[in-house]
Amino acid sequence: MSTPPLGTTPTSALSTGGTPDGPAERLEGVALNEKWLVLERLVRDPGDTGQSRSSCYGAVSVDGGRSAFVKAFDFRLDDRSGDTDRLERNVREFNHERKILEYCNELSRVTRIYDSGVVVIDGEAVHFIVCEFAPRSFRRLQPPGDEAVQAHERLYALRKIASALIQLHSAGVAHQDVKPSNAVCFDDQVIKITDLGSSSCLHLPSPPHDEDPVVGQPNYAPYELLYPNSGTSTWQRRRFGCDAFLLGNLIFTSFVGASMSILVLHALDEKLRPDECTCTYDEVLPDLVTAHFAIVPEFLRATVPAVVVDDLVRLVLALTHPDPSKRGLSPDGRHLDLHRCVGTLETLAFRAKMDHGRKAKLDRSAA
Amino acid sequence: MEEKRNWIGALLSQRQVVPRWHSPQSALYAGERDSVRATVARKQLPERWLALVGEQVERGDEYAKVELAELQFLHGESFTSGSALPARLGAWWQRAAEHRGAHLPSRPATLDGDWISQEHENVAALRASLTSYPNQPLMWSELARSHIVLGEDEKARRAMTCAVQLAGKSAYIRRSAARMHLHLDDVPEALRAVRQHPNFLADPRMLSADLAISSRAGQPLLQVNRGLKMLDDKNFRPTNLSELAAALATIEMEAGKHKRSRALFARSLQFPSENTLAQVQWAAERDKAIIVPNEAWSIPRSFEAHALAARLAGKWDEVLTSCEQWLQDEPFAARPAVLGSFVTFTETQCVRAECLATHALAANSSSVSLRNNRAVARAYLGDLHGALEDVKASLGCDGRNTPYLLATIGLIAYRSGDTELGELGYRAAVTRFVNDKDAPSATLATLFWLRELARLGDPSVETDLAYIKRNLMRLTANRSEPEITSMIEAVEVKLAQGSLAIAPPEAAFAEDARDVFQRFNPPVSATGSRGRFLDLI
Repeated sequence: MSTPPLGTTPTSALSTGGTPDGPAERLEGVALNEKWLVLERLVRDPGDTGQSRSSCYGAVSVDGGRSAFVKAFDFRLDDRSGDTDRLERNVREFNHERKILEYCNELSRVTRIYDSGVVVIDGEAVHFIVCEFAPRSFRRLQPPGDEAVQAHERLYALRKIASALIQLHSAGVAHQDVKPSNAVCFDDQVIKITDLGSSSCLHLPSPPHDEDPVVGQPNYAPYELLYPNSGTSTWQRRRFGCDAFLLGNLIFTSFVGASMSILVLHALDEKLRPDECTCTYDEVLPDLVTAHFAIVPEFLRATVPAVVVDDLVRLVLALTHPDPSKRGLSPDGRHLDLHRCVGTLETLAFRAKMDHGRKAKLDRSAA
Repeated sequence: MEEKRNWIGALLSQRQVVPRWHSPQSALYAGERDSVRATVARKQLPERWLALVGEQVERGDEYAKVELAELQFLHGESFTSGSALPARLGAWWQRAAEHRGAHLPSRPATLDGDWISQEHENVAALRASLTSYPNQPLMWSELARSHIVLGEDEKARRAMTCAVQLAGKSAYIRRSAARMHLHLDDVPEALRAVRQHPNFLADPRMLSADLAISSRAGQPLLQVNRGLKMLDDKNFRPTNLSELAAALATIEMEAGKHKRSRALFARSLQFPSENTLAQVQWAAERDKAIIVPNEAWSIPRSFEAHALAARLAGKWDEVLTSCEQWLQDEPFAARPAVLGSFVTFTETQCVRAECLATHALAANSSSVSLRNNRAVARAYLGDLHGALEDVKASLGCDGRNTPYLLATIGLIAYRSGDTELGELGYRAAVTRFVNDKDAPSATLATLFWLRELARLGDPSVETDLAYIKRNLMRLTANRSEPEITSMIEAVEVKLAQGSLAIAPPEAAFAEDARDVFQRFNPPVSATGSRGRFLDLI
């Protein structure tokens, strides 16, 4: 599913790329299930073919107590075009997202689902999900690569995101689209992970995107998803390994301001890049490892305070190893062990905070 | 395994399509690292992310520009959001691109640089990088390569073991390991490196390596039928089948099945690699029905094939050039240096031959052929002490090479002014060859001897030379022996130049040379003229 960057500027006049607005794009002012009043439209996902796929809105409960986020789905074009495969796929994706949100509703670090249902607009059915609304996205709160954000603040936020991933994993859910805009921040300093549209769950039926070669936004995706014949054997290693990589990439991206995988691909010979490559992933892997171990330390050393950089480099390298079977922190190689990642981030955040305080004190005394 | 015999004709009597150990980048551009499957289904990235992030850019989201540029890079497009690539991102990408190939060792472009220091620097840099991050298979394999070039065999073994442990699924690493173990004469380990590849029985590259190594080591050829079946499988990449076809063709040729061998060599030439081309050129020298098409010579980096073809044509400068390039490509190999360092017909060639031999001796310090060839080159260049040192270093290494060393002692003695020892040396060498019924070697040694005698103005040289020319076809068993042909020309040139005044030998040096000669203790029994000597064969 699409990525709703919550807390973005409301835009009632979004470009529709020449496609007329569908019913899912005309929900403003509509009351859903007589409980939710839809406000302004936030974002529109054009879908695979440029036709409308889903639209996101801000909403408020009718009793005025709660803000909410509405995701509306439009299957009209698929239905009318007679593309039943596509229609079935989109319906299954919608149902999967709804079910997985309901499944994760008790998790404190994942945005909750409040409601779901269907509303008829101009004679057309629009399916919707009503979720918890966050005032800001993590990306807006701490823009990636922005040097004005203190390292310890970033590290604390990243620690919370890692904790959210642990919650998801312990429930048997792999997110598979962890990126700066898919973490949201609440007023009480709580950070939650959102958008389970690309996720897979051990305990729910397999969604259609499980068969897709790339799940989630490709520029953050682990290397193995970009190359052919790179499948790893177990569900856990493939799905949770993807999340471990995405978390490592998120840490890197937060400090550097660019996706690690894209930078590493720049360090590869052109013949080894995914769009040119005629090798299998096993053959690219040695070169990827060399580039990976060169790029990650260099760029992190350029952007992360020296007091934490060595440990952070080790952490990112372990989380994002190009070989999925070697990814993670557990010495026995069986678990991804994100608990240790949370502990490391916590320690590093504390160390960075102490260092920042010490430097501020020195600056003050020098002044 | 690298080489047991000095005589080039004998050295080239066997050749197998053993895997090359190119640098990772050379192997990549030679297609050696391509998937074995003929078609590689590239992953189609979903387009919707471009549209979704594009909309965010239109809404003025600054960071979405970075994401859009990254997505467009993945789709192979240039950044098109209506504004320039975000400056910081452009700088980051530029900085990342500077890492391309920067972490693997660089080697000097020519052989005459200070390559030993360069290799030591490579080792230090690779070690430093591996100390920080040890799980880097290419670094380990390149470290093994540097150690091999420096002749540090055990260190090379250990480094390659790490590389194979870390990237055992990589065909490039496995084949490199096999080549390295073959260089170290460790056939079981070479076969193990190939056979433990998870895709061994379904990968023509692995199968061809297995067949070539087994064939070279005289081990049972277990995968011939599987290899023949594989050749008919259209799912495999034709370039990968080329080496397999050549390996099978060589096996058939050695079994005397020339018709099948020709068909397989023709098959191997459909999409040949440089290794295949060298194999076919080698086979074409033995079977005139095998023809290398002109278009095959355009294959890049086919140094060995060019060296073999230039040798047949007697173009010795080209042989040297190709051997130098071949040695740079495989800096640990003895074969290019043995072939090239034999070329000592002119002074310039002697300089290049000496350089080639010196370079290869670091990795092949026990090679008698290389020491002998370098001793010859040094003797011609006037470095008699160096030449004698090389002979001394070769003593007792390999009995079969002894006759050549005797001839080289003869050459050194002649050049030092000790004609008596010179004659003893050459006579002993020729006698050994005659006793071994090795007519080409006896002929060549005699020609070297005649060149020295012509230099001294010996009147019998013309008669002996005429004898050799008259009996050349018999002496070479009707085979083309370019070295003998060129040596005859060299003797004729020397005859035309006239005699030189010879200074008396330096006493200590002459004593040393005689001592070396005595240590061989050759039973010199034959007498008579050099011409009749050859007549014994």
